[in-house]
Amino acid sequence: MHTYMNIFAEMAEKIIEEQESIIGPVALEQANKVQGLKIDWSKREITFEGNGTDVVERLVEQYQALFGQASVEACKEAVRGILSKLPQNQIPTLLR
Amino acid sequence: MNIFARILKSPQITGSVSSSSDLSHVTQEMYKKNFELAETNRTLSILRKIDELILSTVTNVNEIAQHVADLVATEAEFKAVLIFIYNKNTNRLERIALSNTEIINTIKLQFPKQIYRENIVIAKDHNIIEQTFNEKKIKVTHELKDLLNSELTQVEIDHITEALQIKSSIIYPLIVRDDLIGTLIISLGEDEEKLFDYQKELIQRFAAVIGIAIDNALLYRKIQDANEKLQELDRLKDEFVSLASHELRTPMTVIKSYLWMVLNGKGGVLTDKQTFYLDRAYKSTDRLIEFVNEMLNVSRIESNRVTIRLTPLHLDTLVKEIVSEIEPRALELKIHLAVFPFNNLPMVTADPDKIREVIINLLGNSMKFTQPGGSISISFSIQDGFVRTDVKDTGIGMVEEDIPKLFHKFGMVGNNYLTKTNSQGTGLGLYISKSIIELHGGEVRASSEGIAKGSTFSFTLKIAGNETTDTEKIEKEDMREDGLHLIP
Repeated sequence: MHTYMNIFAEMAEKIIEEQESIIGPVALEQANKVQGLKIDWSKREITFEGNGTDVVERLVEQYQALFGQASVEACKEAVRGILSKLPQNQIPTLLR
Repeated sequence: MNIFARILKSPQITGSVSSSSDLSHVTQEMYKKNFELAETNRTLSILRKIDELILSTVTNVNEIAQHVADLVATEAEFKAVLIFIYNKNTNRLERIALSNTEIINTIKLQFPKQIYRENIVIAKDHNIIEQTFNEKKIKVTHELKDLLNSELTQVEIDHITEALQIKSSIIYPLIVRDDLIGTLIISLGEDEEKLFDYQKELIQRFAAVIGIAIDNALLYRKIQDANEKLQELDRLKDEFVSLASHELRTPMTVIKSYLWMVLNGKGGVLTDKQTFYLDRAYKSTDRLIEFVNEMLNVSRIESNRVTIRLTPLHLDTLVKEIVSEIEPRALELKIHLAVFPFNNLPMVTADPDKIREVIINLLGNSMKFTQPGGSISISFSIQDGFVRTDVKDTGIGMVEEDIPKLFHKFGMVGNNYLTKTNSQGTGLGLYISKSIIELHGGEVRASSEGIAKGSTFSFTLKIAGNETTDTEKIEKEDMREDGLHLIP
């Protein structure tokens, strides 16, 4: 698990970046509300408290709640190149 | 691109929208619009990067094509981008770029032979790429084998198709100014039918901009080739002029020598008529030799073979020497010559032989165009670290629009009887004088207040002061090697 934390951090960064390109600063605002996710965006530092899979799942759900499935598709697109680095059972459900 | 299709067409989306509150629905619709804007923004950003490539210092066609293919494939996340350009000489489309994406590079390592087609013969190969080119129409293929090397086996084709996950490829003819220059192929991971109109439009913009980028590079290559040919022609011309002049000078020298001997009684006594005719022939030969010498000088100037030996020089002393040499001739023509002295005129740094030639030329010109009873004066002044020498005459003068022509090769001006009668020059003297002065870092100018109001020719030379007074010897070419460069 510990070795995948970097990958989860990378996924979170890509998702927030992708959302930022679509909805602007609101993306970061929403990401800051996600439990277990600590962000210093100016340094691109993302730290997790707890299970990485769960935290990323919550991040995607945060956007889904406001913007619907479209935003989930955008999240999937953002992490398309990274998912192969994770075992199947570690991939958040919404991103499968 | 496929993400947007999923966003708009997925039943889940439709289902979730219909069950959301109005506000949620509006938010989601706005999100989709925002997404579309973000996509357009990305495309515009890629187009801007292509523009930067067009304006960059990269001018090699293949390099630009490769940069563009890599940029578009990576940034727009296409599966592959290929660029072919049309070679008129071989009547083939030649592949000049294939995007270097990770998956393509991986496959390349697995196959020793080329994966994609490299050359397509127009009119012999009925391939879809050729059809696109011939018909100037956009075509689509869902068969990757249409683009792959025809020497690949079916097993290899299947393996490549599986690995690349290409669902469709759009082939664009590259047309610039109604000229077909090649084709562009963009391979997608989805069916092109699923693209929205705005996406197809954006991809077409890529094709247009890529066409411009390639066309620019091709034009630059043509200009470079033409430039090289011109430089070669120029060099050949200079060589020819130099060779012809040398070849002319030798027989002219012989002719002049024999004419001189006959005129001086070496062949016996001549009648008055014979003397008259031979004297005319001698003077014409002399003029021809002068012309050949000047052509040689021009040839040396233009091929940067004129060298100058810089040394501190008393310009006023040189002028006085020359004036005393030509004074008899001036008296004959009833022209008054005067040199206005300048107390303690600073020395200049110059090649005495070359400056002598300039002064002789300017004085000679003034004498040609000043009527009997007129005058020529030479004066000096100091100007911003230079000594300026003015040769002023009371001759026929010039109109202002003729002045710029003076310093061009064969730039004689005036179309009146007096000019044509008196002008026995080659039209190269002022051009040569200007070149010599400019080699010294100075300037030559001419001015006149109008017809019949005289003219002033000026030149400047650097004052020898803070500069090194050591003689700069480079390589001296003796312009008088034949002893026939006579001072008029």
